[in-house]
Amino acid sequence: MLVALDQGMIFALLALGVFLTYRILNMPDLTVDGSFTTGGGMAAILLTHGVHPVAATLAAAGAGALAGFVTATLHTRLRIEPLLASILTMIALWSINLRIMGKANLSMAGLDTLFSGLKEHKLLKTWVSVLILATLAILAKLLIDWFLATDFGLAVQSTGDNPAMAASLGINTNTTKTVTLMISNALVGLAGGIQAQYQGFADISMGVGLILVGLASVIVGNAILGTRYMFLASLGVIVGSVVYRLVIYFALRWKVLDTGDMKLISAVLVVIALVVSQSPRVRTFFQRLSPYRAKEAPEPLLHIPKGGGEH
Amino acid sequence: MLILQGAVKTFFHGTANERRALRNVDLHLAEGDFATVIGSNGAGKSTLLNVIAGTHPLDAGTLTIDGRIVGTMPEHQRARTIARVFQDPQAGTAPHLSIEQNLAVAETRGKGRGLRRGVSKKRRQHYRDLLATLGLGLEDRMRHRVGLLSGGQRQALSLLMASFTHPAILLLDEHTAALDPQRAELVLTLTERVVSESGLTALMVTHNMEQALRMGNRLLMMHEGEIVHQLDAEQKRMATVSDLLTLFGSAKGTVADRTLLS
Ligand SMILES: Nc1ncnc2c1ncn2[C@@H]1O[C@H](COP(=O)(O)OP(=O)(O)OP(=O)(O)O)[C@@H](O)[C@H]1O
Ligand SMILES: [Mg+2]
Repeated sequence: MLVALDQGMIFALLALGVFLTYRILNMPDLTVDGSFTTGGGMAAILLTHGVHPVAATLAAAGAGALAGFVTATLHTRLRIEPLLASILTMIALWSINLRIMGKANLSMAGLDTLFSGLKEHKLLKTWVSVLILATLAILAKLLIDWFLATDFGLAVQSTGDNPAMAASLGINTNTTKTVTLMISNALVGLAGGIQAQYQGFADISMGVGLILVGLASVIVGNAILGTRYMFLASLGVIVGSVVYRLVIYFALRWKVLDTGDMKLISAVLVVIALVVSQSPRVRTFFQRLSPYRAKEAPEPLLHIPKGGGEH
Repeated sequence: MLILQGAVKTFFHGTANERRALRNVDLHLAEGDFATVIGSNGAGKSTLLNVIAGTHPLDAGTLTIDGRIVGTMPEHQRARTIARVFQDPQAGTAPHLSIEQNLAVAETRGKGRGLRRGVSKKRRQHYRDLLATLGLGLEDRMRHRVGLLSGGQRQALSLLMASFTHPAILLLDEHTAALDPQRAELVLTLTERVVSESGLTALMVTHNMEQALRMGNRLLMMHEGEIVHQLDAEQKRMATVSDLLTLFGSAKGTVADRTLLS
């Protein structure tokens, strides 16, 4: 089960990236499927060339950011619809990723990776590795919380929430979208780089369908912890990612499903999560449950203004 | 201050759905002018405001503000000098952000937006004072999402967001149309106050003739993409609602005739 927790924390980075685009920018970004592999491939090829694991991992994030930049440019400069723009990047990245990796599968057996130390001491898939990876995920989450609370971050949130209002208040929505897509895909690339080192290889199809994993994590997590407070919303994404991995883990373990069914499970999970989180009944259920959600009293029906108000 | 010359805006140009929203509009606003704009549905009032704000580019004509040609400047750059309040109370605020966050976004209008904390302690105190001037009790709900506010409260907040950074020009598009009479009156009073306090140059679209006569120092009447009548301060003071209706009738006549001739 600890391997599921390890995985949950690594994929939480990807889910946080999806959170930024899907929830904050209000834009479905399918670049994820490609940029995850880009990150994995980048880390793998650099490691085989003897680059330090930390540098290789950072390069994975950088490559992801570049992928996000391409999608952003297709959308903002060439005015292609965001969904289509991201599909175009995702497809094109398949070829780019093959170029980066040189072949469809790159093994890192025997190479120095981020996890070599842990492996040597047999600490992988233990509470130690879970704790280390959880720290990383929490760190990313805190950075996102901080970013979104800055002047620029509020501009990003306005862009997603009400683009017309954002423009009328002097926000260059092309800039906010571009920066956010880059940060989002940097996180995805980072997740790819770390995952490749964790499993010991990079594979050309390692990113296929991951957008659904990200979406499932975001939707499940937000259903549990709500979206009212940014701190809880981004924490929920990590929780969602872990929950997703646990579901998969037990489904495989009890032989309900085999690994070939994974994509089907992701899709079904997203559908269930979407339907359930939109049901008013479930909402009120969670609202009753949560100490945070119902704090805001709705607008009173009759409100008598206290007159014009003097200076 | 604001000079619009020969403004033309056509939607769906060259198709069966062609809409000539602005035909040939000239408009001069001096600094501190507050003009109300009236005209029937589809007359081009919103389009006039939209081309000034930069939401839509002009097809032909020039727009200068303070001697600077801004015709090609994107909307977000013009927002430094131009602020607006929309007809739809939903349009001017971000519903999922809190009241104080919305104000912070408005405060950085025309400034660089960096990585400083958006709602700082200092700003929060400032916002509390600002909100208190509305007299709606919003100063006690600063962390609430704007989506929870009523239309009137949102509109009052939008007006505050548009004006508290003292932009040079304020565009108001039927900003009280969606409100009940009491709230509309409140928002109008606020409008008069911010315009006179900051000496803004303002354009206010309205379908309410009494409002159009009461507010501001000038009046523009639009019909089918043209400004067909203008009243200056003196004429406006003398005019009554029935005068405006007579003018409307004659405007329709003349424009209809001209259409027949062309
Ligand atoms: N974004 C747009 N796309 C296409 N056509 C438009 C657009 N905006 C305005 N129009 C058309 O331009 C014409 C003028 O519209 P506009 O919204 O300026 O009228 P208005 O005077 O504001 O009317 P109302 O009183 O109904 O608000 C109309 O024929 C309208 O259909
Ligand atoms: Mg209009």
